[in-house]
Amino acid sequence: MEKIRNLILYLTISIRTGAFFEKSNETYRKHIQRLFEIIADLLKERGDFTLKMKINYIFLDDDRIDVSLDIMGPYRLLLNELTIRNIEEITFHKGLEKEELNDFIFIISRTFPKDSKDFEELIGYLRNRGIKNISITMLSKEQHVEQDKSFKREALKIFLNSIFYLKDAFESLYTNEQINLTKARKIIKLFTDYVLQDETFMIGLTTIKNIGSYTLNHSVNVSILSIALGIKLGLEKRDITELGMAGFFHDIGKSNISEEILEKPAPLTEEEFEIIKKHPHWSAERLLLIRGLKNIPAFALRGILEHHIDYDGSGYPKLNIEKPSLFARILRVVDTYDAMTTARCYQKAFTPIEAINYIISKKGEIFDPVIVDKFVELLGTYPPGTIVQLTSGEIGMFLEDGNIAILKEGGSKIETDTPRKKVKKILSGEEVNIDPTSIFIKYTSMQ
Amino acid sequence: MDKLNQAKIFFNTFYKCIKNIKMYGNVKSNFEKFLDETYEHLQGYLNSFGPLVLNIEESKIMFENNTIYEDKNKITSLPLYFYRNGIRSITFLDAIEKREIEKFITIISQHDFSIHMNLIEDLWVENFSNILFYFVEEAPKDYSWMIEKDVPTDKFDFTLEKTESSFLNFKKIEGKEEPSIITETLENERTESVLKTVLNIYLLETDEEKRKEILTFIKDFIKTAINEGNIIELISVVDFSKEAQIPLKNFEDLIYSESALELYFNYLQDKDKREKIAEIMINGGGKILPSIKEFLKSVDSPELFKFFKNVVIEICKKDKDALSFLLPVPKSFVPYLLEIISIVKEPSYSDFIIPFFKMEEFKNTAIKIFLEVAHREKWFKFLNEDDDIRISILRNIKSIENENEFKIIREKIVDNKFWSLHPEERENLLRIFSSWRKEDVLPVFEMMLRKFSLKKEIISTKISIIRILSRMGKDGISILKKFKKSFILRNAIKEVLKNYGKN
Repeated sequence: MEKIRNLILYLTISIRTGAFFEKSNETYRKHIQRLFEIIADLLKERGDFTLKMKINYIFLDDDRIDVSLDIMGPYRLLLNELTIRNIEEITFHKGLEKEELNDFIFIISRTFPKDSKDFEELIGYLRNRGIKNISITMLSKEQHVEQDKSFKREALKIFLNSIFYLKDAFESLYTNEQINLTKARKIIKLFTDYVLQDETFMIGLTTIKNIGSYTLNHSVNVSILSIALGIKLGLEKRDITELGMAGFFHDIGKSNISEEILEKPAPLTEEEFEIIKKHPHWSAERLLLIRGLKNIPAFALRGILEHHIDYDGSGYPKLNIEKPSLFARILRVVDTYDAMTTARCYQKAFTPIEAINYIISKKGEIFDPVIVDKFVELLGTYPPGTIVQLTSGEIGMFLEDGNIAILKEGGSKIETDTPRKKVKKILSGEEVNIDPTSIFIKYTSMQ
Repeated sequence: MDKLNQAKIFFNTFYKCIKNIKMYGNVKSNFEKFLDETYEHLQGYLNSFGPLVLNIEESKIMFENNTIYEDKNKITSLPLYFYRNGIRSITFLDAIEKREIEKFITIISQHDFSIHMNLIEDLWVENFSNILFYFVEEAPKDYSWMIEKDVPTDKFDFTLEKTESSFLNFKKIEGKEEPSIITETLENERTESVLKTVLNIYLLETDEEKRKEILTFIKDFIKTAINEGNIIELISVVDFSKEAQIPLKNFEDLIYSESALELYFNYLQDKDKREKIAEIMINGGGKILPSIKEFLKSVDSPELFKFFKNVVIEICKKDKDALSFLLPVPKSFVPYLLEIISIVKEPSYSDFIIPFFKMEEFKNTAIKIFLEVAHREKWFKFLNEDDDIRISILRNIKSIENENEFKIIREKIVDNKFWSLHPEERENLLRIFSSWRKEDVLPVFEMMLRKFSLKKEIISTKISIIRILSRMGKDGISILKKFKKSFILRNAIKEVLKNYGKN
C-alpha cells in the first residue's frame, strides 16, 4: 500500500514541479529519481502495470486504489492533473529508463490536449522523443463529457453565487457593515482555478448579462475577464488574485450614486456626469476605509482608482500620475468590452466584434496596445456571444472554443454544432431578437 | 527512532516555530534556531521513512491514526485553524527545502487563528513544490431560482455537499517577451502603489474627517516600513508627500521617531541613499540633533562626519537655536562643528566656541572663527584672556567703534601692566587706540611720552607712539614738538618731523 501511495504522490508532484521548473532543477530531479525508483520496484514486482482513471477513482490495473485520508490529497490532485490533460490511462512497461521517465513527465506536465487531434499529436511527439516504455490513452468520450458537465455546472453555480455575494456586499455598504472579503477571495480563487481549467468556457460565461443588476453582473464579468487576461499576460497567482479582486470591486463606489442617474434612459447632464466620474474614487476609498490595506491589496485599490484613466493619461479622476497602473490598464480594456456588449436602458448592446473593433481603434490612445493585442487573442476570431447568420441560413451564437449554438424556433430551443460552420454575416442580438444570456444558460443546462 | 516518535518530534519543533512568530512577531527571537531544528527533524523523518503525512481532525493532528498533538481551545488551536479552513491533510515530500518550510510556517502564523478564513487562498498563491494539501471547500449557495425561468431546474444539482479542490498548476505561457515586460512593469509599480494610491485617494477627498482617516493608513504604512527596516518605503513617503504637497508634519512623530532615525543611521553607508536621508534629516530640524549627537559617539569616519556637518549646517540655517542640541560633541567632530559655526555665522554660537580656546589643537581655528562670528562686544570681553587669545583678538580689531570700546582700550593702555605686555600687543593697542577721536587720544599719548624710563621696551613703545602721533596731523605734531628736546626721544622725533616736513 505504501508503494502505491508513494507512486501516486510522486507521480502527482513530478507533474506539478515539471510544469514550473526546468529539467535541471534540483527539486524536480529528486522527485523524478524517487518516482523512477518506485516505478522500477513495482515493475519488478508486478511486470507492466497501468494506472487508470474511472470517474473519480484511480485503479492500479484492475484494482481500485483504496483512498485513506493519508492519500486523499495526492489522489485528488492526480485525478485532477490527469483530467485536465484528458488522460485516462498511463501504462509503464518493463525496460523503462530514468531519462525516458524524465522526458515523459516533463512533456505531459506542460501539455494540455483539448481534443483527440491534440491527443494524437501528443502521442506522436512522445514516440518521436523515443518514449517507448510509457503509453497513454485518452479519456473516453463518456468520461470526458461527464467531467465537462460537472465542471460547467459548478462554474455556473459559482458565477451566480458571486453575483449574489456582490449584492450582499453592496447592501453592506448601505448599512455601513463590513464586506465579507474572505468570501471574495474564495470566489476569486475559484474563478482562477476555473479559468485555468477551461478558459473558453469561463469567457463564455461572461456573455451572461444583467442578472441581479447591471453593475453586479458586470463586476463579475470584469473580474473573470481580467483573470483570464492576467493569466494570458503571464501574471503570477498572487497578482491574478489581486487583479480579480480589483475587477470584482471596481464599481462598488457606484453604491453612492442614485438609481435615477445610473439607470437614466437619456443622456446624462453635465452635473450627473460629474457624479458618475467620482465612482472610481469612491470605490477605492470605500474599500480602503472599510477594510484597510491589510485586506485590500494596494495594487488592486490602485487599479480601481485608475480604471477610467486612459493610456494617454486623459480620463478621470485627475491624478498626479504619468500613466495608469498595469491593473488599471487591464481593467480599462475589459471594463469597456463588457460594458459595450451589455444592453443598457440608454443603449443597445454592441456586438462583441463591434466592441473589439472599437477597442482596437483606440489602441495607444485609450487602451494599452500590448493589453489590447492579448485581449483580442484571448477572445478569438468570434468571441463568445457573437450572433451570426450561417451560410446555411441558420442563426447561431458562438459559445466557447468556436462551438456554435444553432437557434431553433426563434431561440427557444438550441442545438449545439461542431465548430467552423461557415459564417455568412454577423448580426446584433436585437436584429434577430435574441438574448445571449438565455442562450448561454440554456447551453450550460444542456450539458 | 521509530516513525511515530520522529513525526512527533518534528511536529513539536514545527509548532514551536509558529508559537515563536506569534509571540515575538517580526523579532523572531529564537525562530532561526527552531527552524533549523524543524528542518533537521523533518529531513530525518523523510530520509528514513519517505513522505510525511499529517492528518487534521477538529482539534487533533494525527499521524497514522495516532494523535500527535491536541488543542481544544477555540481561539488558539492550530488543528482547529486548519480544520475550519478546510485543510484535512498535509504531506511533506523529501525534496523539501528550508525556505519552503519557513514560508509555510510564516503563512500559517501571520493571521489570527480564530478569525482568518483564507488560509487555503494564502497557501494556494505560493505554489509549494514539496508540501501537498488535501482540503475541502464550501459548496456555493443555490441560486437556481434566479434562472429557473430559462432552465429546467432538474438539470442542476445544487446539493450542499462539500467538494474537493486542488492546487492547479499554471499553464506554461508561450512567448516570453510580453509577460516579462509585464512582470517587470508590475514589480516597479508595486513598490510605489500603496502610498501613491492612498495619497491620491486622500487628495481627491474633500471631507476633513475622511482625510484624517485616510492619513491613518499612511501612518500604518510608515510604521510597517520602520518595523521592517524598509528604508526605500520610508524614503518614498517623503518623496510622495512632497509631490502631493502633504505637509510632513502629519507624520513627523513617525518619520523622526527613534527607530526611524536609527534606520537612517544604519543606511548611511549606502551612498545612493545618503542624499535622500540628508533631505529627510534636514526637514526634521533641531529635534533630531540629540539623536545625531548620540550617534556621533560611535562614528569614526570622516565621510560621515562631513555628511552630518552638512546636515547640521542646513538645519541651523533654518533654526539658529538648534545647534545647542548637538552639544557637546565628541572631540573628533570638533573641527566639523567649528566649520558649521563658521558657515552659519550666527553670533550666538560664539559662546559654543569659547571652550575650544583652551584646547591647544583647536585654539587658533576657534579664535579665528570666534572673530568671524562673535559680536564686537564679545571680542572686547576677551581682552583679559590669556596671551594668545588677547593678541589674536587685538590683531583683528581695526578700530574703536564706540565710547565703551574706547574706555576698555584706554584702561588697558593707562594701566601700569601695559608696559610689560608683549610688544606686538602694545603695538596693536596703540594702533587701535589711535583710531578714536583725537581729543580723547592725544592727552593719553602725551601722558605716556612723559613717563620716564630707560627700559628698552618702554622706549621702543614711545617711539611707536611718536610714529602714530606723526600720522595724526597738526595736533599730533604739536605734541611731538613738546618732546623735541628729550634726550631719549629727540632723534626719533627729529626723524618723523623731517618726514612730516617733506610731506
